[in-house]
Amino acid sequence: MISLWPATLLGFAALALALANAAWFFGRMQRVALPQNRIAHDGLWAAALALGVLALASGAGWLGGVPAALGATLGGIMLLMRLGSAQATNAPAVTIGGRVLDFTAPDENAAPFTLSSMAGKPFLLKFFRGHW
Amino acid sequence: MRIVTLCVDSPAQIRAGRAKHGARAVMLSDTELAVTDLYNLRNPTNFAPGKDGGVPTFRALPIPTTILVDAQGVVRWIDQSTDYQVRSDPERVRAALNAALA
Repeated sequence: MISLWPATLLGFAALALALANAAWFFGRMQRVALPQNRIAHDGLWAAALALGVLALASGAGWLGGVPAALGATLGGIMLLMRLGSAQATNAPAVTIGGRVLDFTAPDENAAPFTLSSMAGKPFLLKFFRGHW
Repeated sequence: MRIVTLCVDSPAQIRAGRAKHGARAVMLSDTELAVTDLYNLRNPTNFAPGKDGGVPTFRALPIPTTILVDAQGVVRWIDQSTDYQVRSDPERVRAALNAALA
């Protein structure tokens, strides 16, 4: 006999919360609009994890147990990734008001490009982690 | 605004990346982190996919950083990420450009 209340419902709530938060989070990430303060996302991941665990602890059958496990797992993984997302910061070798440091590096065709060739117009110099 | 980017990808990986996102920036390869070290922007331990997009591992990568340089080659603004999930928000970059180059 499948019980629809409350453990099954809790399981579906956990999954719905995790999926909604994922859509919101990755949508913002895609638009490069994730704020430094992500307490709302963190709270929703924690809530999905808690609801999923609660549903499983309340004896959810397979109907509620599967979404509960999925929701709790997604919430837990995202919380873990959040804990490890802090980035080391160094004082850059250039400072505001100082001159940019010239260098030569290969472009996408392996042809050497020298930064000072940009002189005469403003530009943005961006260091990033790579394509993946 | 012209943009010059640096990352640890090989020229071939950069070509493939550009085909995907179509950015018009000058995209440079810094596989040995020589320029990253010149600017003191090395983060020694990042959990990231391997060099050829392989198995994730801990390796050195640049700290995501945006530097605005004016026509005279003077640094006008520096934005450094304190969290790898967060990038330089386009609105924030635009506001800084307007303020610094006004």
